Amino acid sequence: MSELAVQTTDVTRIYGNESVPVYALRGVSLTVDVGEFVSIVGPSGSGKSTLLHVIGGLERPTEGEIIVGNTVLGSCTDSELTDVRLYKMGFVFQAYNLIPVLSAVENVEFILQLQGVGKKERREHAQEALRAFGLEDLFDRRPSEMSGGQQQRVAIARAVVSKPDVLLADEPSANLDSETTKEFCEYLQHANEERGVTILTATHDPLVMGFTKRQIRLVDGQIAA
Amino acid sequence: MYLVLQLALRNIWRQRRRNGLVLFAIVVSVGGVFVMNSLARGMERDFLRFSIENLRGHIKILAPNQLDEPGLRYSIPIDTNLSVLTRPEIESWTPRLRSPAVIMSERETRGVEIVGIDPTHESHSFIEDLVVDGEAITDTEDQHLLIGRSLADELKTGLGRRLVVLMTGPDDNAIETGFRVLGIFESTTSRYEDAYALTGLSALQTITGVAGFTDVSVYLDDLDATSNVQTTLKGQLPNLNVVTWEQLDPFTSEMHRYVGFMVYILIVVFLGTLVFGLINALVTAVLVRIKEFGMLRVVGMKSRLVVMQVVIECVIIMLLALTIGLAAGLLFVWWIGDGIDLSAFEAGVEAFGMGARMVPHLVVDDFVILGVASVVLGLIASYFPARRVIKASILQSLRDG
Repeated sequence: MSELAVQTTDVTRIYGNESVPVYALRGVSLTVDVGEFVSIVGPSGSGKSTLLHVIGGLERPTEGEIIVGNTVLGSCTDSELTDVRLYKMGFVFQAYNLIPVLSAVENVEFILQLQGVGKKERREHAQEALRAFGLEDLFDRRPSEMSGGQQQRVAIARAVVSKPDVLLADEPSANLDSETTKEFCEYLQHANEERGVTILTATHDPLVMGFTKRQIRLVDGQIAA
Repeated sequence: MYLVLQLALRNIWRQRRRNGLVLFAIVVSVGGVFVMNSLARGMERDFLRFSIENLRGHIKILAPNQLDEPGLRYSIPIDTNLSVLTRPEIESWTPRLRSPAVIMSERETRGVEIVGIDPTHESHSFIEDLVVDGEAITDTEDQHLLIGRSLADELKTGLGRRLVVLMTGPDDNAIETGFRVLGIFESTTSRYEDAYALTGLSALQTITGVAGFTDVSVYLDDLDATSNVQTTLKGQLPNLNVVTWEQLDPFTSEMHRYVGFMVYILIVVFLGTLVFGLINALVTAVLVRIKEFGMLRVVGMKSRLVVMQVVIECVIIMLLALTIGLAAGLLFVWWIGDGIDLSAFEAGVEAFGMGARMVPHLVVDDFVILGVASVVLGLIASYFPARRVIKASILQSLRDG
């Protein structure tokens, strides 16, 4: 039996108030095995991003339980959730979200710095991660000096450098052209296959879906198939 | 900590135009407070100096009834034991014989105070700093007269000329005597030049037949010791009247206290105004980076580190501005070190108890208070934007950015 990276049980997320509830998720239950590359697909407003957010501990579900690795997120304090994100998860967003005042290598180092890794060791890991994503010439470039594709590759390098249990990617190709998206997906695949990172990506881009091993379809906040 | 400091420094540099404006505002405020403060302290010192140097001293020992009836009728006997004045708190003391008098030249008559002095003991009164044209009083036996330039002009007299002084003696008899003007002094204020005619103490005692002094001025090395020394001297000289400069000159005493208080009012008003501007600028600066802070929290930066980053950014700007502001203030104070010439308003400022030059004066405690208050205000001001950052949910921050 495979080890589970992510497990959600009857997860519901309601926005709005009691008189006008808006259901973003309705009793979503799913499991993702360690080492899987899964896409969550569905039309806009189907709850893809919300599902990633609750799995990532960025918001709490209204009901239901989420387990990442062996951590039950519902029992974590905000501070513990921050630690879970720092040590067990990596994030890639459509807007890259790099730190503008840091160079590429410093952006990747940042996570290790927060984890308290020593200067020399974190520099080596960061450079190695950037090399793995073809960014060896851009160590000292700041985000404003890089293209969108390059920034997104730095974002993946940052997300995987600390060897997280799960990488969550929310519409990572939304700002990329098809050529760059393909290249980006190859790097995601590389992270999944070579580094063994479990990847969960929300997307409605068929190109991205094509790279994933499994698709979970959401419609109106529920798993459709 | 290094991480937070690194981010803070780079963010300050990244928003250098905005931060530069904030910095400039703080520099102007701090520098302005510093200069105003120094001038106010100069005023405060002037009040004190004019009151104490004006033949008063920190403490005055008077013959009984001398305060009610100034003149020669009441005096301190010459054989009074004044060795009690040899105390560590007392820098110097000087006996004088003073009497209201009428002074007459061939052309004019004026009311003055004739003062018999011992020049070797006058190191702490205005007499020490007089610029004398002709001869100064060098000995208690000197029987010539030293008058102020202003009085000399009013009397239309000059060096070597003779003046007649008329005063009431100890037995209420009129004493009329002639003096030759051998010296004309100039002082920092025309008040002294108009008010006093100086001669030797022994000479005046001989002329008036008073074997003693009307008063003894006592100068201390610490203003704050005045009250304690007064109490001690009262116990040791029970037959004499021992009073402080504040009792003799309540107006100046109140002005002195008022200016001392005004200094702190200035600091509070300036820095209070500054803090509102600072909070506004910092909140705006933080709001434009709200997404960035959200992203830092997404990847695992704890809220306290985010708060620390905002606070450190603010404190760095504050410390930098404080340093530049104090340096600029110091430079300005140095530049106007000789004082601002108020001679155009001389009559007014002298009536107010100040000199014709407003000379700034630096007080180390004010430096420290201003510095500490600025940093504390920086911390307070940074709290509000920092709170805005961590109060917003992570997703809200990412969406709003």
